Amino acid sequence: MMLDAYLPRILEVLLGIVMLAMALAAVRLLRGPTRADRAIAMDVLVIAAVAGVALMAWRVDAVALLDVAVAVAMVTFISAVALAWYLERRGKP
Amino acid sequence: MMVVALALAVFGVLMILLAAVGLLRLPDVYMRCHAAGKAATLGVCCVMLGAAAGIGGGGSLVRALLTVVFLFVTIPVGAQLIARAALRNGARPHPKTRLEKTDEIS
Repeated sequence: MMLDAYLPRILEVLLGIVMLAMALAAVRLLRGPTRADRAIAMDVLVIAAVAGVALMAWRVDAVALLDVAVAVAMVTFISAVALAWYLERRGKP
Repeated sequence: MMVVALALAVFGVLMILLAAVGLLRLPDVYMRCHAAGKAATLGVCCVMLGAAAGIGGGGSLVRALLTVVFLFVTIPVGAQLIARAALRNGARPHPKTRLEKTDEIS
């Protein structure tokens, strides 16, 4: 089929779009006026990284790389909760 | 099968891009939490399911379903926790926001 020949190229383009999204989230992470902005930007950055790892696993056809996506997805929640806890304890936004 | 997997992946990637654009363009922290909590969740879940369907096999499907269930529960909770922390720290909403019950929430 035609699609199978072009599949690696298509996946590389999708990985490029994910990297563009990560760059936009990184801009908000650097600029963000409040600490909560930086925390939520970090969250989106890691979520986009999970999607990128999943696409990379498909590109190289390796199930083992999906384990990385599972682990990173589970660490994200801990970091979001820890950041929110830290933000609530500090005074200024 | 491959067409469905690829369509899921393309839709999910575009949703993640939409979440990042919303994160950059929306005017205050609560709207940014809204963009991050919904669009990014849908996007990453679609990408995981698409990648699992594209790789094929039971092991990848189990890993993808585990991740999807976990992310569907945790990403909105994390975004809501961060928005609540911002509210309790007194982050000002956009001036055009209609404030009605924020005093009771905090």
